[in-house]
Amino acid sequence: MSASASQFQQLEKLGEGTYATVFKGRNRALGTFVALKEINLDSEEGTPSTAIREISIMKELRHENIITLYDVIHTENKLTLVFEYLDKDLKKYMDTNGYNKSGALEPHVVKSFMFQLLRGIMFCHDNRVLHRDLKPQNLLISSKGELKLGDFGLARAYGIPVNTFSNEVVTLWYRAPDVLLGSRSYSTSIDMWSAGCIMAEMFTGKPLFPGSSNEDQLLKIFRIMGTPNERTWPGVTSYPNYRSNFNVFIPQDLHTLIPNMDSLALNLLQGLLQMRPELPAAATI
Amino acid sequence: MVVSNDDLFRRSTQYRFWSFTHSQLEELRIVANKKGIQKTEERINELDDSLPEVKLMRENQDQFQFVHLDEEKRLISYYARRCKELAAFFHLSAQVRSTAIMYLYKFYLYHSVMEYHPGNIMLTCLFLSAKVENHFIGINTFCKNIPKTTPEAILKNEYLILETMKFSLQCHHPFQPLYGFFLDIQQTLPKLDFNRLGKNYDGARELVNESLFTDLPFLYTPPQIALACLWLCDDVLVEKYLSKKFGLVKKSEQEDEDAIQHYNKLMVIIRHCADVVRKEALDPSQDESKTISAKIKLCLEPIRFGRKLMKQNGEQAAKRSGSITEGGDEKRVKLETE
Repeated sequence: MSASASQFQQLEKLGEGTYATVFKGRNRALGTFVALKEINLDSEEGTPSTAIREISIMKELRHENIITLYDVIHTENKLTLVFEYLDKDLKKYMDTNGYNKSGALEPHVVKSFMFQLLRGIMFCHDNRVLHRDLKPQNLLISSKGELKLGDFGLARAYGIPVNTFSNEVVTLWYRAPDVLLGSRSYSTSIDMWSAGCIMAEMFTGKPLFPGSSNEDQLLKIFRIMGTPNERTWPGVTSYPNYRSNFNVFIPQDLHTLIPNMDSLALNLLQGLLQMRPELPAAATI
Repeated sequence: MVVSNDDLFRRSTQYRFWSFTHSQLEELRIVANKKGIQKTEERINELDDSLPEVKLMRENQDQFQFVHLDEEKRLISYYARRCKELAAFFHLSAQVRSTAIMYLYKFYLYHSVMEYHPGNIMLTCLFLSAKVENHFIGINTFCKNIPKTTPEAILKNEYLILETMKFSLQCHHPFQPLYGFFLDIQQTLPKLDFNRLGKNYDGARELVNESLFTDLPFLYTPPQIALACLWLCDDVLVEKYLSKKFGLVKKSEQEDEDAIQHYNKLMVIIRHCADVVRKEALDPSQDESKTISAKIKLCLEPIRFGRKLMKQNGEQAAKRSGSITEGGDEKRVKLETE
């Protein structure tokens, strides 16, 4: 890797990642923009393993719906990952491009974004990588309407079966019910659940399950999807966080909640939002 | 859109950055060895000519021994074997262990043992591989269990290794494809004796471990190596399985020419890989490693060569004057084996 830090002019801060700070940067020679993810190296353990994992995964994932890692720059006390820069994340895009300032997107835009999101997820899963933290803030949108998956800070390479991952992953609102119930052996289904939540949010402009705690998150899901029991989800009662006194809700019709979906969209959403981890549709196109 | 497993492998950094032809691999090692000699020569040239040992050294420079290409390979393999033992000590998985060993071999495609001693690089490779493969070991725990090292010494080389790896850290080993074949064979040949397969699967896993100490991972794909290892344990089984997979079982029907060619091509690869695993897995002795390490010591600090010459001259002079003592002799022997 030949890049040096002086090649890039550091511009405004874009955000705090899971373990790093991200700045916008300009390539001095080319004038093009990049995203610079800066990781402090003051750890006594050398390069943080989160950084190592992200680099290792991003090096393998070259796909048009996944942010490209261009380069890694090492200076005395920090490591900078140079990523492809896109103007907006999906959250900001919805705020500015939603109709009637509602944040909701036109169905044809949702269709295009969902297609690209699922293509990106499929590529990850084909390469045995779980993203584990899909949310509108981690999906980047270009001015040409391209969608790319970013922030693989929590991603994991997995073999089969995947187990004993910590369950402290995925922003609460997009977290799959089996993870909320304390499952420590989960797989591709957790990314599919997140994709379903994001799809509904694009249609309505509002998060589908905006829970405030683990317990509240589960209840928000049950209120719409119905409270699971041994008949609808064999084995559900043996999850560590399962309670026999959960409020009992009956499943609601997703179509009445999100009326502007056509039947194909509804079909897809139902396929993605499956409570049982073995059921969600695979990201296959 | 169907993506085949072949496509997936071709997209991997292992294929893009770390797969070579035999001659490419040799060329990389020749260049690395030359670089090591050059660096050593630079170190020799930088020495202060006014020192008597340097003067003596310059006079005898033709006697200075660089580490030979073949010795580099053998010493790296010696430490790759030690890496395997150390990984077992820390109860690390086959994946962590094999990845560390591959980092070590990859590192020395671009560097020489005359610049970095593999005894040190090996430790950092294992520490790094544990991080990459989600089996993080704290640096203090790691060091506490290894004599004569410090956290600083291990971390010092971490970035150098990351850079040499071109930050492509994911490694594919033959263990997973071997397991895949183990499952698929049961499906394809349902009447097979399971004990026979189980026993040969275990044997093949052992051979996969051995294959790491050859050049095969740079030259062939993990499934090819896996099949070769299984074939070494049970050639009849593998050939039967592949014949069925390629649709070559019913002799009476007209056979597909393409399938026969494909099968034969694969068998050539399998036989060749099997031969390499059997004959070329390196396991140099400790004595040999000591001899090569002694050379490295002189390459890294060439002034020691001058001092050694001084000592030898002094002793020879002493011998000539007939005043040699037994103590002196002992000391000399010790020096030479250092």
